Amino acid sequence: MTWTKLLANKEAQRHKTSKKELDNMRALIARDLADAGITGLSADRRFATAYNAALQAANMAIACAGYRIMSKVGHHRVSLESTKLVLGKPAHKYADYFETCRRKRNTIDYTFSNVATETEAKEILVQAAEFYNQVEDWITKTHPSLKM
Amino acid sequence: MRNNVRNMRNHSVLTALFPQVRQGVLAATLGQPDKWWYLSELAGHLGTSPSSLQRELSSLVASGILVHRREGTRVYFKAETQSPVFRNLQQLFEKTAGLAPILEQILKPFGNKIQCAFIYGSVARSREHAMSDVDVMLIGSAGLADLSPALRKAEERLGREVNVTAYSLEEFREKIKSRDHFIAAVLRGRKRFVKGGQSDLDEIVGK
Repeated sequence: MTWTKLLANKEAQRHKTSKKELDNMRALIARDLADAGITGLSADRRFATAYNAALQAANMAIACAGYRIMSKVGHHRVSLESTKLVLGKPAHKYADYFETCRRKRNTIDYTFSNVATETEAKEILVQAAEFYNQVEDWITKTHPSLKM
Repeated sequence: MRNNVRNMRNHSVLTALFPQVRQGVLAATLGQPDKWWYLSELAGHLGTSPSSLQRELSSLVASGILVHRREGTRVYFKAETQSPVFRNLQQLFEKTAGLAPILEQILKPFGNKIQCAFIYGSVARSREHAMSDVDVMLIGSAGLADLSPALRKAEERLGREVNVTAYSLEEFREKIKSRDHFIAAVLRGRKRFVKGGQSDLDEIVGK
């Protein structure tokens, strides 16, 4: 996967982000990370909410790199995979992990209930928070004008 | 250690029986018996050139182990499921280069972090079709984050998705205690163990 191919396939487009746009995404991530920790919710809902926080963190990194993933079939997969291009090797393990989570989240949202286990819901919350911190660290280093 | 010995033995069984390219062709076609493989697709999957496969494919078609069909200029190949040796060959590859050995291999580095893991659902019942996902239940402290990089590689080799449901030992035992319907159904069904065995599962369940 390269940006050239993603642009050619119309899976991504050039995009100039702003601090305001990123701050809106930060607020959304903070909300989802907080909601994913509410133990009164089902493990499925907490899992899907933490997944959404991770997806938005991926989109923040992509926006800072100057792109936006087009909203079409498979765009979550493309967003997660694209973080490998933006963040490099340290993001690979997160991209692979959240790809596994993407499929589980699809089943949760569209097919079955009681899919995520408590173990998995707790794990994704930790991983999403870690991944988000990694994205913020990267923004601070590479795009200081856009930092938190 | 026992797993190591078993893997080495499995490897030498196939190597003794089949040249490397034939092993690859048979593992791919018998592993997904409903799938029609286009020549260059199969070559890409095996990391070789189409020309290096042609002699093997012709020989396997001539012997009735594979069938082929032509669509325009393209030729497709698949396992001949009506062959009298199909099931025997499939079992041989399942035991040596198939799904379970690949999963055993990727779970091995996690050692005691995984108490027990098994395949369940249609694949465990041997009723899968070519695109069936593989459902795996895992009990232990290794999570999806630990497993995912290795899972991606296994999925590429197997050509199908592997869906893992992970439980900590405590959560699994709680679910058993609360008579969780899903776990009860999985435990009643057929399983193929890829880490530990029935006695390990019985111990966890408290039988």
